[in-house]
Amino acid sequence: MAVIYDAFVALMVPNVLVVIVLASVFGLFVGAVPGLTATMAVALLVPVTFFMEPLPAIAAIVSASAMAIFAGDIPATLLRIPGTPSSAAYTDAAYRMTKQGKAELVLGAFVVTSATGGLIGAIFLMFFAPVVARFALNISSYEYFWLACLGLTSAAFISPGSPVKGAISLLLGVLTAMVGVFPVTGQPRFTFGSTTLYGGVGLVAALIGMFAIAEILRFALSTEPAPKAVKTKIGNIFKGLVPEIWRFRRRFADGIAVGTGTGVLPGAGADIAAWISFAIARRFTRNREEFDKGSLEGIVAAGGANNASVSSAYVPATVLGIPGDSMTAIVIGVLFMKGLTPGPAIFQHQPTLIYGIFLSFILANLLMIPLGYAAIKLARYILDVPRQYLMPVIMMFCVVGAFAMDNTLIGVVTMLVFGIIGWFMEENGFPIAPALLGIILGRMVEETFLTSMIKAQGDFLQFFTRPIAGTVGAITILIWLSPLLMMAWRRLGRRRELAARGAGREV
Amino acid sequence: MKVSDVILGPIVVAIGIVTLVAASMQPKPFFGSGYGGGFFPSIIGIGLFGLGAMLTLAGWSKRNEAPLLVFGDWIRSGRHIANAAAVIGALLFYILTSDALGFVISGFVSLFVVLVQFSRAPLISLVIAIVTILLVKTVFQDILLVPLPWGILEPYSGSLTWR
Repeated sequence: MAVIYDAFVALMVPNVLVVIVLASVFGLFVGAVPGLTATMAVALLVPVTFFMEPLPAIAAIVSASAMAIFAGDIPATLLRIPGTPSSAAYTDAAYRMTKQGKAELVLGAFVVTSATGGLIGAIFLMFFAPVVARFALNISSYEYFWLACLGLTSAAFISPGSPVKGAISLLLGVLTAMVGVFPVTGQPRFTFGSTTLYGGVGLVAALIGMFAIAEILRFALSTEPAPKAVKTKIGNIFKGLVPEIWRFRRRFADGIAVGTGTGVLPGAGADIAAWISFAIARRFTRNREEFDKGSLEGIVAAGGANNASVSSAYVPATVLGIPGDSMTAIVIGVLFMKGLTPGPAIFQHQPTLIYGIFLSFILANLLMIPLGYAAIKLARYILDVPRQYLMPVIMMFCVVGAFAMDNTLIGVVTMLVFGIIGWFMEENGFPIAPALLGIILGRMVEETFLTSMIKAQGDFLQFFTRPIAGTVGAITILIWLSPLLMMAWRRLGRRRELAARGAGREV
Repeated sequence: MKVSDVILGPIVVAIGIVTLVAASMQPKPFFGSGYGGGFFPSIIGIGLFGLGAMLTLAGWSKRNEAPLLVFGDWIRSGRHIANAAAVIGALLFYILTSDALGFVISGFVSLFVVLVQFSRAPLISLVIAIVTILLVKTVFQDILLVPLPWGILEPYSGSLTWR
């Protein structure tokens, strides 16, 4: 408890609070403008946080990401365009209610469910993460190796679309991570003879490219006309809200539970939480007809779920250093840049910082109610921001952000290259998030593997003889084999069917 | 721009082969576990090779459904091609000239060109470009002390900053 008090005091410093409020406003804006994603908000923030102390830096990222995930619901409701991918699951449902003239109710529900979901996720994070950390203190490089593998695996498998393309994206990310000096022998590897690549590919520059420049290119080539907002006057968004939410309290609770659980899984983020919880709400609704015609039921569940997962994604990120989604992947990168290694030890060495991060979640989600209310009131202006002016300005900030990481033009070059690659991959159905996780976890997988092998003197069985390592390893390998097993199962089934049919014909 | 898996698959296979070759050229360690810098890359190479082959096969079985190459609607619109060319061109221009001309000039030109191409409103673009460049310069160069290049404005750097 004393630690929480210290963290609270550290957070209640005027400049930290100003940073949180500014980052929140920034997150709300970026999340609300269609075409600018929550990950992009975080990616653009990193160069600025680079110049801050660790606590305000992470607190800024935390508040921007929580706000952006909520703000993505605003254009979903008013334009039928999800502001961020995590609002996509219920965009149609929300817009259907807007057309029935219930935009106020939906927006009010989004503010309240997002803030509540985020708060409950944060409280879960605050009490669950330290417990896991205490347990995780006993784990060593063998377990880390398997956990990193598990993180990589679920990143590829849970990603939307084709798993083969997810896996290719992942491996390309890991391949990118291999560039730089090989840590064991100190030999340069895949550096194309350039000394500037000895330190590896710049993470921030690469992710600004993949998440911002790629988006600008997509906008440049988009032939769709600018979306027209529904002209509806937004009055009191909280009117009649409480009884409606109370009516669906079961779904709301389910949604938050699903979101919190999904967030903890490495590689599964807010968008997946929203899809799953919306599907569950639809599956278990008592009144399917009302659900499909337009009701708050699914909205309440999924609106809470995606924000809950934003909070709980910090469990694997802070305890194990394994990102739960692409935004926490960036946070891990930022922690490394600050000279802090996320992992169980950080809970002992930097408890104020860790609890400060957790408390900033609570603060950000409390701020969400007034700031979110203001954002909804101003929605008409935010949604009408002319993107033909906004996008070039963002491009300029990207250039300076990529440059500022190590003050070389290589950052800008990296950003451009990854921007074009990211655009091309997305166009062809290769998900980007696994590549990002690959870049961050690739090094960790290799380092933990080599450390373990040196410790075990080349005895590969050591990876399975330790109880936790063995369990996680077995799960990972099972997931790897699952597509093959599924294929074999299906083929066996078909053969049986054919045999049965053949037997039938003979009779 | 949608490229058929029949083309993308072999590209991934090729990346896999290149990775394998590059991995085999990594020096073997003389001590320790015997796993050198080429060990992980070769696993990645094998993985890319296999996944690329799977992608090719999947694309081949659907070769009649999907054409080899589908461009977006932008391919028929000169304006949209020019939009993308402006973004990439502006970034290349900045990369090539910022050391010589300095951030203020190179950045302004890059930003202004993209703004005009996107909006077709030169006057507003000019105002936005000037304000943005001044803002970025003040925040990053003067407050956060990022050493943005001065270029040909170097002799005047003393009077152009309030530090």
